[in-house]
Amino acid sequence: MTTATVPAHGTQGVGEPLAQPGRPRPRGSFATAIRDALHRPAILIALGWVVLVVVSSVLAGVLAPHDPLAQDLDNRLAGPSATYWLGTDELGRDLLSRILHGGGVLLLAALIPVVVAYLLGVPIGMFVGYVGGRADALADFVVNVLFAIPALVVVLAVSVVTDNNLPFMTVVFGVIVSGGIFRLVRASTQASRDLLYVDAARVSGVSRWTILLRHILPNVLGPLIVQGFLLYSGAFLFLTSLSFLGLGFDPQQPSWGQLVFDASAHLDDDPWLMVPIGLVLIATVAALNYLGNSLLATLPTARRARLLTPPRRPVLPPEAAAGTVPEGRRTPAAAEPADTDVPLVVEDLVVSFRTPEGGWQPVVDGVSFAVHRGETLCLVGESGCGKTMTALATLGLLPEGGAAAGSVRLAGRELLDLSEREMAQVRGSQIALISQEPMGALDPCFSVRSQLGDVVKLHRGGSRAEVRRRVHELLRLVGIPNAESVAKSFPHQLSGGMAQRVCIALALAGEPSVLVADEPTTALDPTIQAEILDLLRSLQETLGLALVLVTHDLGVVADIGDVAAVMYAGQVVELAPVDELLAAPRHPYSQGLLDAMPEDAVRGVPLPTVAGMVPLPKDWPGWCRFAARCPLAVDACREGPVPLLAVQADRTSRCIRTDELARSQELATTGVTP
Amino acid sequence: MTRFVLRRLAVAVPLLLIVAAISFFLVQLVPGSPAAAILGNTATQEQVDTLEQSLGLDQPVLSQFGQWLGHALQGNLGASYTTGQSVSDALAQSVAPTLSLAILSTLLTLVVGLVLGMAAAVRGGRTDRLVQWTGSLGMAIPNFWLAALLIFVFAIKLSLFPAIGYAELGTDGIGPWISHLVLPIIALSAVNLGQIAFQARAAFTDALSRDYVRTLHATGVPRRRVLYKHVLRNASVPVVQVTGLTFIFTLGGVVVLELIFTLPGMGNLMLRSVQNHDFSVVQGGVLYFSLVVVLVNLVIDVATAALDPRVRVR
Amino acid sequence: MSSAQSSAPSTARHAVPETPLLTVTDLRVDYKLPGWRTPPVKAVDGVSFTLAEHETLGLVGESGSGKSTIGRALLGLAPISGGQVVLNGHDITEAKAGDRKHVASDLQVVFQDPYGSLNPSRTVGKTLAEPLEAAAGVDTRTALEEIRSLLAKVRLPEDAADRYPNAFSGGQRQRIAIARALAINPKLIVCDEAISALDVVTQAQVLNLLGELQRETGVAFLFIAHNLPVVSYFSDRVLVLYRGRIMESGPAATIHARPAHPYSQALRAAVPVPNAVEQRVLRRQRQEVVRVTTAQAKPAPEEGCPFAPRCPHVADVCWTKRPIDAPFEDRTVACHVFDAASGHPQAGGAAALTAGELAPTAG
Repeated sequence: MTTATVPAHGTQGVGEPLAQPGRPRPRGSFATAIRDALHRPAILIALGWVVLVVVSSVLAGVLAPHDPLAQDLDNRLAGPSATYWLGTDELGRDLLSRILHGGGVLLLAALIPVVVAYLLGVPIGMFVGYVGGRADALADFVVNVLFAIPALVVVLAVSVVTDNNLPFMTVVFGVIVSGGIFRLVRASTQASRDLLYVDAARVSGVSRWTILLRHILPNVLGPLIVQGFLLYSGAFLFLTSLSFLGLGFDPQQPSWGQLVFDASAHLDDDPWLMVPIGLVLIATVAALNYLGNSLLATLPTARRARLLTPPRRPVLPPEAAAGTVPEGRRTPAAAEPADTDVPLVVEDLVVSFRTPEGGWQPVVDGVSFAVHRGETLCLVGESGCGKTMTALATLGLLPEGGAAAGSVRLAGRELLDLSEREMAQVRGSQIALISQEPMGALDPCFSVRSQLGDVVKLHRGGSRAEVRRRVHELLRLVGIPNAESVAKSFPHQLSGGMAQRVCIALALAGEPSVLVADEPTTALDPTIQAEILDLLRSLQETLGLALVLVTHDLGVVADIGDVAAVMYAGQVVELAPVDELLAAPRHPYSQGLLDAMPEDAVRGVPLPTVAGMVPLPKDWPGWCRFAARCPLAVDACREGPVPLLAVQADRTSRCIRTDELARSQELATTGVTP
Repeated sequence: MTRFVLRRLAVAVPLLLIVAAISFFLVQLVPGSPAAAILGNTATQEQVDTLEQSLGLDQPVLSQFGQWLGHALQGNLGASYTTGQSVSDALAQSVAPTLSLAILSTLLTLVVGLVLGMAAAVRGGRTDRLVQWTGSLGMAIPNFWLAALLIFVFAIKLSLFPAIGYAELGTDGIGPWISHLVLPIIALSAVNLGQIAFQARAAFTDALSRDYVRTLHATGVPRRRVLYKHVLRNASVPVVQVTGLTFIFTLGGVVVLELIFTLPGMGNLMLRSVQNHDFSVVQGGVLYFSLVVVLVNLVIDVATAALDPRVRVR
Repeated sequence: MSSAQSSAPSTARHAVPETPLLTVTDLRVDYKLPGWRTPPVKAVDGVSFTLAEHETLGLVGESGSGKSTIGRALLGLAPISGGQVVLNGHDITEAKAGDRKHVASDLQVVFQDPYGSLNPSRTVGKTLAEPLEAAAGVDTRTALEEIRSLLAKVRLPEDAADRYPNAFSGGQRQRIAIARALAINPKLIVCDEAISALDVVTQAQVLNLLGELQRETGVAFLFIAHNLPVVSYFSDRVLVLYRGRIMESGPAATIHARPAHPYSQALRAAVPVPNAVEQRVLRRQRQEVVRVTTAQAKPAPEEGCPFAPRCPHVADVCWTKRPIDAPFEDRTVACHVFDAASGHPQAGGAAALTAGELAPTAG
């Protein structure tokens, strides 16, 4: 309802470009959205109906063919005729005229509760939401009282004590429902109060009122307008109920609820009476609700991709499966497919996402690598380079809308061809995942024991006691000495480091041979990061795991990596043993990443940086994707896609200027200026 | 968990006291004297004074409230101004149909709403649109009109269910009890069902995008188990909470439907008392209804705390 | 009284180099937890430091160290429970956000999250005009000229003023946030994890920009971050914080090269460097500088040293007595080992503790 939550990095994967839709849209887009909506026929019909109802109620005196009170006792309960277009009621009164006259007071009176609820809920909600503290606690209690009051029953009581005073009854109803508006406004205000831009305004000395009006009210306004529509239609329904019960409205004058009541007495002899009034009521409420809900859809919300795997895995159409790199230019992965020492081989992996236009946009474009037993391969690069999507594709866990092509072979078995059911059996037992946000990665509703025990039972079976013993064993394996008490905890009771250890235990429960870790330490403090890296290394040594580790930090690569694949704009641009890569990168982008690290930099001397930004997938050029930012780029770099070229026996680079790069590095280390 | 329940109870007590005060002082708003209102326009001042005295209305308001509250705590809500019957007895006799209707309808909406919302969120596409359209339609049909339609089709034309009346669960057995309630429950549930289904759809959409779904998949947990064990539980927390908020409107609907289906419930009792200006019954009725709301909300709080451990610390 | 008043401004005028720009004395921030028996959390527990004009002071620590809370307390965004904050000769301890107009012209901020720190519904121009209008009382028309020069300062095109924040990347938004902080020429900018959310290349770009701006305008920075190498590259002096207390303070270069406090050593060794050979050494060291992992550690003592549960040099005194800020070379270290009178068995043996440089720097 309120402004968008920041999407978790790990679920986004494609980085900034896709993160944008989740952000609050700029002002003006609400108005634009409304303008767009006015071109949709369904909305026009709903709006048209509401206008028609309002206008005809206002002009009832002119439009109605008969006096709504005039009785024609010869034509009682008559069906539609030329004189009485919709027929007559038990006293022979014209139904159409009664319907035309019966809505005005209702439609008008339904405005009162909305106005009252807004007058009470908005200022109080904004005020206590902003200042918090005791005022907030008090207001919250009052609202709790309001929520304990059955509205209709109290209004019944009011009707008796005020002798059926309709305005008073609607005001009381407005007070009771103001709790809902209050909660909405308070929640939006509280959410906005701690926003950083509100803090920034406070620091600048902007006054409280200006902050409320300028920075907080706009965030509250959208939901409030929508809620107004829904509240109005709710109040309208409520008042027709009152009218049906014969309360609040002048019994002499027709009103819509009363018309239904009259009709319900003749269900057996004249059911037609129900039809016109029913259709008018339903159409009016439906139109109001539809308008409100359509407005709701225009509000910015955090639309995040579903992570539940589809029952059938999506397949990229052949024309999208090749990515953008031509057939002959691709490089095969280094290893034999059936080699048992090479559990994971990825070849020409392409990951694409459905675009709103219906096409496919590649975000990973022909990635190949192989991981040996007991070896760590690091996928390294900045956000938006496709490293997370590469990792997720190996497990068949791409977010909704994504599909993979190429080849992912686990112990010689092609994973991309497996059905979802077969893939589920592979996951956990042969290949497992550790994700970036350990807190979000655990189900908050289940204890550690329950979650870990489930997975243990799934893979090994066994009695309750055996499962329990294994759970404790796993927890101790990941360096948790007090396994008993941690097993009893719920995820929200764990620290980030502890939660990540539990996540690692979950990944190890099925004894996989390949572990994929997506930025496993990024969300953690440095000393915790060091502990987790040590843990991963020791587990790898004792269990002989092949580890694929996604990171943006070359320090982490140096710590745990054996081989590194540097990724840029969906491609691997350099693949090399870590020692050699860090000592002498053979791609200008790798060099740029390394230079930007402040570790050995001297205070006061600017850090060498690469100008510009990583291009969005839609802006990838048909030649070297780094050329636009590359200090070594020449015309030849822009002639066509650059293949991965062998630089040495065990390294490849997607660069045709590696010699020049090597030369410039030599000059830099010897200190000779060219 | 015990501490959580105790804490909630501790909040419920002052809440009930305030609601009691509201239902008492509501009647004090009557212009002039209630006695005059009861006796009508033809009564003489002496008659009014005598009645006031016999009803204790001549004493100061606060002492009246103290007395009323003291009696209310002992289960004595005074006597009906018109029939002389004990208000507590009258309410107790009519509570069963009201609660049967309200609680069964709430459970039905919750279960069906969760199923519809889940189907809409998981399947998307055509299922999603279908749920949204039917939900919107349900929300637009006034319950009293739907009730009339149901009576016409199922009672008058098809004679499947009785059109009006109520059967005691204890004396008449479960068959007649249910068959008398089927039509009122359907009529009552239609509006809430749409609302709950929309809430459930949003809750499922949110839960489906959480990282733990990916973690569970990655450990090899099959799709169905992820959905029915983990996503369902997480998504039902906000849905159950919303059910609590809609319950007060459900009770309003009960009053209307009791009238149509002539169920001998608290709603009908209230309507009758309103027409007869029987303030003591109205007063007691408001208190009774509020008590039901507070108790139901307590149950819902405990249910959400059982579902989600994070709620317990709040 | 009157003489003191009249002399105060003149002293301030003449003694600019001597009086620090910012003096923080025994700052405390307590957070009350829900529940009437739970003791408050000491987010900042008696922190004192000074900051000179044109200086960059780094605050480094992990989550829960109180580094961001210190920054927020100075900015009036966190409640100060005790101590004193003097900025540019004015006591701003009591200045709450809302009546900070006079403080705002001296003190500004750049936050961590480049997405959250700009109002998405206001153009960049309006965002930049806000501090000008609020603190400097500049009207919108003259502000336009200022905004143009501000955008140029942070290397953004002029037409950026008419666009909304969502048209910019994370790095560009951080430039906008910096421009907003610079708008009214403050003397001090609090950079609260200002570069932590950025990719390494963007991070370097923004660091370079901040450095240039400091040279141009002479602004002082309170640079808050969790990454010791980044902080020590960018700062003149560094405070190492842990659980609301200062563990070690001194020149950035020395603390980075030869951390003295056992916690500083653990922190230094924990951050991996992008050099395979050096990192192999560092990896061995990081297991030696702590006794147990965080998962195995006991809870920290209420009094005493907060690092005691994990410290390899821990003695009985560490669990019971709060260490004083002991002077050591050109810095102070809050560790009993460095305090000859502490009663720690290794007391005075500080040299042994800092004997070797933590990581060999290969050129």
